[in-house]
Amino acid sequence: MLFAPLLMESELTFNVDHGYLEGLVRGMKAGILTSTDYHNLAQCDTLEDMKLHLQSTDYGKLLSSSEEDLTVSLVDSKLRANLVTEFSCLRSNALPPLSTFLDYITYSYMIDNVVMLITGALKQRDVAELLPRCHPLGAFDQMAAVGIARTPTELYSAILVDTPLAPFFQDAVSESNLDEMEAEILRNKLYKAYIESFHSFCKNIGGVTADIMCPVLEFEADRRTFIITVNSFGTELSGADKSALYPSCGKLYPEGLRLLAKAEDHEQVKAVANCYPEYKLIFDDPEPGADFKTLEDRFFEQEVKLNMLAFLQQFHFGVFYSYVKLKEQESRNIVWIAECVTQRQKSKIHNYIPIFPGTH
Amino acid sequence: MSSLLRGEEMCLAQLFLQSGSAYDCISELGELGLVEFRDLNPSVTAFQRKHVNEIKKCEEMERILGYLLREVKKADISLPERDVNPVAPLPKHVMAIMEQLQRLEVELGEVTRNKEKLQRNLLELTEYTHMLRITRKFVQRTAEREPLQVQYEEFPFLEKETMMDYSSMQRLGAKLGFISGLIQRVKIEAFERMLWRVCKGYTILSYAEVEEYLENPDTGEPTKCVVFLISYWGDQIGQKVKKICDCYHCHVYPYPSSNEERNDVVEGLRTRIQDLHTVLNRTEDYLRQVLIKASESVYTWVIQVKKMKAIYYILNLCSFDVTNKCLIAEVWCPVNDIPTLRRALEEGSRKSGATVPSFVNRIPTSDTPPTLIKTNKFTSGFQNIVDAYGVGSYREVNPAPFTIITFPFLFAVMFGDLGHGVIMAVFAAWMVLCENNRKLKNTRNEIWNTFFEGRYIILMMGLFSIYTGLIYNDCFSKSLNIFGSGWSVKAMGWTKEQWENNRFLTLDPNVTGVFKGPYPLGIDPIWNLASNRLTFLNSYKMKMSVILGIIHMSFGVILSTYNYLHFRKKYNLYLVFLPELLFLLCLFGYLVFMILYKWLAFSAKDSRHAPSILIHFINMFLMQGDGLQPLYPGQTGLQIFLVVIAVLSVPVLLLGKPVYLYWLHNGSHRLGLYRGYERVRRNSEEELYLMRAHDMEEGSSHSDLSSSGENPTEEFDFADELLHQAIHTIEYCLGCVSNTASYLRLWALSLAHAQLSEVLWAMVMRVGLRMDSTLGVLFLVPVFGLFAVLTVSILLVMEGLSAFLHALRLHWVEFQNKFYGGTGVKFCPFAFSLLPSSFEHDGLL
Repeated sequence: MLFAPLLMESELTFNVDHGYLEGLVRGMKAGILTSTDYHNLAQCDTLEDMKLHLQSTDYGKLLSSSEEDLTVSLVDSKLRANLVTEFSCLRSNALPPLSTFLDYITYSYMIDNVVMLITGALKQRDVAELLPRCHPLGAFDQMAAVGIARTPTELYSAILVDTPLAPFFQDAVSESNLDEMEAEILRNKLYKAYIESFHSFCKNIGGVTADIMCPVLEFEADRRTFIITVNSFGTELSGADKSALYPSCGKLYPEGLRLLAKAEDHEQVKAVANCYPEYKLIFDDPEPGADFKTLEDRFFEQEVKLNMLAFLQQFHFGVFYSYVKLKEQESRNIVWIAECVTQRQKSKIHNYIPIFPGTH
Repeated sequence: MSSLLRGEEMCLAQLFLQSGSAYDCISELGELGLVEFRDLNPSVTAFQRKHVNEIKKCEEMERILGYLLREVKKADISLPERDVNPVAPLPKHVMAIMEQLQRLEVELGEVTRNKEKLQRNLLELTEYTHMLRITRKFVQRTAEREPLQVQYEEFPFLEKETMMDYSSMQRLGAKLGFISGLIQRVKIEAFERMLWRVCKGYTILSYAEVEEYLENPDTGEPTKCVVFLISYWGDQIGQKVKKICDCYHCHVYPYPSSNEERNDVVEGLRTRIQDLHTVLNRTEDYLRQVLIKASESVYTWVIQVKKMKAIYYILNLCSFDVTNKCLIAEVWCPVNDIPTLRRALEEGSRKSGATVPSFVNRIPTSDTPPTLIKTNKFTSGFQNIVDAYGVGSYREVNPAPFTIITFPFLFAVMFGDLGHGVIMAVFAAWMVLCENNRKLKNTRNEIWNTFFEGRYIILMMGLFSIYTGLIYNDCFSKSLNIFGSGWSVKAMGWTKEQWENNRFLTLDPNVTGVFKGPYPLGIDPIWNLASNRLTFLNSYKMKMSVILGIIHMSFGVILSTYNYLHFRKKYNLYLVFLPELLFLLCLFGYLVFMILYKWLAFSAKDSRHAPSILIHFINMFLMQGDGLQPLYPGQTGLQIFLVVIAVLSVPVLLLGKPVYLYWLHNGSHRLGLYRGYERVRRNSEEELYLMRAHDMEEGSSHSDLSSSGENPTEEFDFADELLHQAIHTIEYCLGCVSNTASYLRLWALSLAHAQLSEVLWAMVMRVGLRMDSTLGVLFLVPVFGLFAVLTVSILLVMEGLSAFLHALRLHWVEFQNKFYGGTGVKFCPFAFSLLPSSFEHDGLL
């Protein structure tokens, strides 16, 4: 009995509350498209062909039940609706603390929705036009009223105070008028607070969940740090401003964050990344001749790798997070392939990010 | 019978279908379900095949049908699921069906949309009336207060401050606005809070609940709503309030400024609602008519479309020959059914009016054909038991025909009880008699289906249980004294004292008159009273189990000769079968002999001197036992002889086959060519070659299709063969011991069953029977109920399942591993009858 002492109490009783859902999510994970599926999809000439192929996968008749002609955006929204159905099935069967964990997953979509609504309102768009574009995982009652707010304080005190996002507003409250820049800063501040909160939540759960989730969230935090830094080149954001946006739960904390706040061009960022073996790879110059991949894609690749690890262990919540993220990546892949198919860009069709490349 | 024993003889055939009549021919074949098609374009992906457009069209029709079915179900119209079996529609008729379906879809869509619009309208109007009715109360309340306020204007109270403020504002002419509408009850609190926060109190919200449930237009669920009225000052706040109302999906309606206007609106609304009701009713009637008309033919359409889709799938498997203008299909077909196949093709060609007939051509092949064993409703259950272990290899001996008898028999040995057997047989007989009842056949209950599918097995198990119950003389753990016991107590001549002083008395068969000879059928009922009944039955049942087991296993070994002979491996007969049988019979066959000998040779008189078989059997291996009295003269010599034979057969079994094969391949090439399979294959290769030459003359291009299954010449690996044989030898020799022991489960389960039913009788039924008073009769009713429930649930269902499981194991492991390979592939014919027949199954609903 080698493993007996390793089984903690939380693992022993895990299945009582969460066993069913873990089984469910592992079953759904088995339906994630394999490299053969991608290979077949990449050979399609029209969206109709793709529909035919997806019929033989777990998506089944998802696409064929619509009456209108297939478009890429329809595919996208169908895939998204599928994910939301699966997620809400998990959420409605979840018991605490898993239910809180699942709620945490939705908060990031809520933040994105809030920021999108604010920018939309700034551009004088109609709320009714914006609402369908919000991610349904991050939907909440007060969503439509977001456009009323003029300052972050007002946003917080009038509209979001009842939502679960309220605790993340502690650092974000300011009296400056909301413009696009401010909205972006608000997004990053909220995200920082959110990721830090999620990180500490996972840490408190402890056990395998912490082992799995902390690296994933740390990676997420560091990715945001890098992206913020790269995007801030050429703006008037000062180093202090930037460091206020960096989530402090990542591996870069504290030394890397300090260096990144000072960085002013790509080379300096790369120099910082070189100190961390896991990020060195991402910032490495692509070899000439190899497929060029954007920084974003490289981060996505790394994220997929991390999320796949979650399925190697049992009795933890990481699988839920990873499943949602992998499924999102899968939707991105399908949409990418669909775009390539409709725009006849066959040469770029293989730039999707394979999930579970080893399985056939 | 031969087909049940070995399975059908199959052949590979090529169908040359004229492209004009291919559809009809395949439709014809689908109705018959004779052949299994092989995929001739495995390298072509699904969407590059020829008939992909037709399949898409079928899917489109399926989608419309699904929509129709859902609408029909929503309207609560029963679907006529009749026993019609329409043939697949001709391609030219498909367009008509398609058009009809599309027209229906458009019509339905329009009507439903209209209906929904009307319903929404109606809901809005109802909401508006509710709102007006309820807001009137708010206003009345203020109106009631108004005179009060005027009255006491000289003495303003502190608590009336707000009211004063309100009216003075009104008087001041500040812009006072009203927004009123309905909101879902769950949202009202959050709504109020947000209003307060955003407008900082410059609004007054009053609300009241609507008593009735209003239907939510999006989900169709009845929900409770709240009517609210917001009064606010100023335009800016009004904008915000409107936005918040939007955000909470409030249904906002214009608020009438005066009482007269309100009355007018209410009046107008009432007439409009009435109008709407009539229109709505008419629309619903019309919708219903359309749906009823559609529901009459929807079943036929579903079947037709399904058949059509299946035909196109099959056509996609065929390869297209451009030069010959015909489709080529390769099928597996039972040899006996080839005439039927020809006739079906003729029929198909005739139907489509093709000038050139389609025809069948048998082609030789070295591929292993799939296994087909034709069954009827009686044998299919037993065949399923065998197939669950493994589908037999092609033309292998099929254990199913023997299983029909041995399976229920071994089950009954464990389940031997007359009463339980009768209940089981009656239940199964009821299922058999009602097997054509649609309600029983088409139920969705999986557990019930399992029982129903196995009704003939259960019937046989019940009948055999009755038989073994008679032999054990057990009926609900009581014995039946039908023929009169062979024992007499009177002859013992016991005195009254002896009766009273002893709890147990021994009947001595040696006293004359006490034992008058054996009971005619089974166990003597007097044993039911005996205290040593269990000892007696245990010894009897244990020996019986061993005897049955050895016979069962020997039978399995003997069946293996059929395989060796059929597959022309005669050497296996001498090198495998013979040592196996000798090993089994010399050791365990001799044990059976000793048991029978002991039963026959010792009677009641000399039973005290009866030796223990166990000791004798052990001594046989140790070659000792000089101190023991022999069972019969010459025992020691015979035993030594048998052991030597058994031991010698092991090396023969281990080395015989590999060495012989080695010699065949290396020592004598010439000899090898004449033997067994090789000869067969050689023949077929020659034929193949001839045929290819023939094709080449004709210039046809399909010759490469039939050569797909060319075999590489077999490599002989001595080490491999030796290893396999070593494993087999070890498994067999150890298996003989462990399998014999395994058959003791017959005894154990039978004992457990008998004891359980006895416990049930003693603990439940006897308690009820012991009550002497008249109350006892009443008491007996619930006791019997409990007894009956426990008998059925524990003794019949649970014990039955466990006995079933053990019988299954004895067949799969102990019996079938002596001869059955079970590595075949099942024949899956292309048959319309195998398509899912009910609506729920095909995912349309």
